[in-house]
Amino acid sequence: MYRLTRRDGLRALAAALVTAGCSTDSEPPFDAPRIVVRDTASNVLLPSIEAFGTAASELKSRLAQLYAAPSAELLVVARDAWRRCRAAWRQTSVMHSFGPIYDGRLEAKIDFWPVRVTSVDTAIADATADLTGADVYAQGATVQGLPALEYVLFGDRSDSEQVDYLKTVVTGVSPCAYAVRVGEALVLAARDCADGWSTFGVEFQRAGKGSKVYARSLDALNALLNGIIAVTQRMTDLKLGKPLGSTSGGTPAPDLLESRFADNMAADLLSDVASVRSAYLGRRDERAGRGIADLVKDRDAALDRDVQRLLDTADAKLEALPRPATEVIGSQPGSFEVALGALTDVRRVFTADVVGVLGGTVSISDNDGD
Amino acid sequence: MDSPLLTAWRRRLAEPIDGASLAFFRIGFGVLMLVSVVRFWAKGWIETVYLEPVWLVPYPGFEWVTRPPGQGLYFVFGIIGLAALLVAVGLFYRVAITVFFVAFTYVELLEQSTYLNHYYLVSLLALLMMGMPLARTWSIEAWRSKRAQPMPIWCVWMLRFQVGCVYVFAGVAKLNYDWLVRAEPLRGWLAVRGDFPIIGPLLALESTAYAMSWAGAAFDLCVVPLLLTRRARPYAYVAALVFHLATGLLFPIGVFPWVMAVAALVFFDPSWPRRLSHRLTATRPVPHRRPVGRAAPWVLAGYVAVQILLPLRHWAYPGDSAWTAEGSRLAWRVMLIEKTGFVQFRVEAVDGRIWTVDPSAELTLLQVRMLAVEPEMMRQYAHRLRTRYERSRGVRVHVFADSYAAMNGRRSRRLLDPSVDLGRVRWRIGAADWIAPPPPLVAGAGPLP
Repeated sequence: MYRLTRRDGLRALAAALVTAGCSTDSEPPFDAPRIVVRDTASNVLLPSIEAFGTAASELKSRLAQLYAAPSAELLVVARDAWRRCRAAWRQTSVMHSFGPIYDGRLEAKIDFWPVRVTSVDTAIADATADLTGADVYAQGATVQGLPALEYVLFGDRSDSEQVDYLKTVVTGVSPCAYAVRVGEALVLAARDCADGWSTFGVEFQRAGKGSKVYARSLDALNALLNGIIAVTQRMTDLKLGKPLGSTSGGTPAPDLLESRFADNMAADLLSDVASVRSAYLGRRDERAGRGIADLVKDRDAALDRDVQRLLDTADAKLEALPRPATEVIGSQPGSFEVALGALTDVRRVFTADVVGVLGGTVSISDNDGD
Repeated sequence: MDSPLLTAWRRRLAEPIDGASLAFFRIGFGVLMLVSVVRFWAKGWIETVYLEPVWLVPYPGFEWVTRPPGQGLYFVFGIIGLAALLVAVGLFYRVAITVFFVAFTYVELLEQSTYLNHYYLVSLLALLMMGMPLARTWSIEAWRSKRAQPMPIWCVWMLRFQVGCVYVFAGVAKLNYDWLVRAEPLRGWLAVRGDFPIIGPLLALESTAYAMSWAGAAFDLCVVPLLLTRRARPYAYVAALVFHLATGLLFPIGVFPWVMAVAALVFFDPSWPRRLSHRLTATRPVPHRRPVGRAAPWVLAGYVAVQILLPLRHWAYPGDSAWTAEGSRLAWRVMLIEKTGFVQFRVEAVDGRIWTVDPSAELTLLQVRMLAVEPEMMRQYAHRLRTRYERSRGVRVHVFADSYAAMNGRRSRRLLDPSVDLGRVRWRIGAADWIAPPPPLVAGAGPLP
């Protein structure tokens, strides 16, 4: 009778590992989380940061053009550049709660909310002709970033009045000259984001394969999931919840609306949802790879369909919001409440369901064990 | 006057045994607890878990247990560490183990979200050790008194009972549909561990989750009888080592595997350390006929009864305790569920004003994560909101919870009845009628709303 030897046992183990490592088309690869993290970083996260840098540079150029020859036409061009930059920035939203943007507190420099108009007015009045973008970047968050630029570019005047305002020097420098410096500071912030992610991104992509930051691919996946959840939380609690009166006893607070001068709140939130969608699908523009959606699909295909349906519903409800938001949020809160409900559903499905099926956690302590 | 049976029991419990095994347990326990304190401190958890939160979620009935002022908790952890060291070396043992028990249990009672079965086990072991003369052998006290005395047999049997409870009740708890039929939650946990060195590809297989689920249940149910059987004991202990090593490598469970690895050694013959190395000095059993005190059998019997009844109490509650969490603590129901949740509170004043409160605005990530799946913690938080809003707004308020939870790979569904004013629900030992029914057994609970 043939006796099993230790070598036979080792052969059997090797065969099992090889078999387990080879997946068919219908089976997920055994290291699917690592592939998802790698693909999402290459196809979504790094391109998003790059797109923001490009948009910030374009905005800086348009502001310089406007400063050189202030006109209503160039103001429109600058405002469009602001909206594009705003969208590009918010499409990086899932990256704001981990990595270089979080560690470097760069979000405050780029998107301090709600805008403090008196701080911006004071900064303009105190500015000198030799002020540089680096000087602005070194200052506090309240006098720079996209909200400060929005206030200067849009304000609450008519277009012609706004052009006059931009080129008028009361004290300090003209608002337009200050806007140019804020634009330069924004480019510096975007460069810091890109520089940070050029290093951090490598570690993120190598999660579970020698990364110094994420020993396990699951850790990077958790960071990404928590990044998504953080975006949904900010949308529901802060960006839409607060203006609707969640913290003021139900009385709408239009002053707390984001991008209220540009009436860009819905677009901001749509960009947030786009960021969540890209991070979930692992897909941005033409770039596509495996995403969290594929992991969810492997466990529960119907859940994946529900997630995508809820994201689409949120988009539809946000697009249907009446405008201008500052004027109608008090008189027609119903549409805003519906949009808030749709975003809350998105938050719930990620927080409870997606995290649940992926075994992800937000724990900082040991789990129980036996 | 004692009955002959009771007298016999008192004599039997006092029967002297070699103290080597129990001394080894004392040293191992003390060292591991010291390591645990150092680890907790080094990871910054004293700050993040106990000091950073603006509010610690108290256990019902223990609301009076509060944090010391300032950085006092560092002092408390220092005391725990020092007490653990003294226990390990066997100096001022009785005082040290009593201080350890009080300080350790005090810290555990501060915050519900940090509840872990193995912390509870540490408290119980320390409580038992308070009554045991474990410093009679291999201790500074024994060295100073120039003599090592035997220890009573009840000590080793009580420790065996306590450790056995963990395994047996953990095994019984695994005999459920999710664990055996759906291989959950292991299936979900292992599916994302494909990058584990060498065996990662195997872990990602569904069949591995089933094999590990069944093997885990079988291990927990069988290991105690096997450890109690002389011939099977070495093999059972090796299996326990492999089991704890595997769980320790795969899951973040801290020092727990090492605690169990040390604790399970009490099943061996009391003189096993001496047999292992003849150079070690230990006490051989000597005639020692003084019986244990009159109350001792009753106290021990009471302790045993409580430890058997507590893990079974969840049967007294309707529904699945994994969902309701009723009777699930102090019951060795370990690693049974992957539960994630989402909750928002709605504070409605009688004058019509409404506030939406997201607990993450003031609680830590850990607290929010636990609160979202623990009905009792939500009730406590609702009471906090009621008190705060009624004081600050000067108006009567009602507090409702919109809560959803997903368990073991199923879709989320409502965890609490959203129409119940949680701010006015009082804690009671009976079943909570404000918890929504659990999800159906089959995976998925239909499309999301």
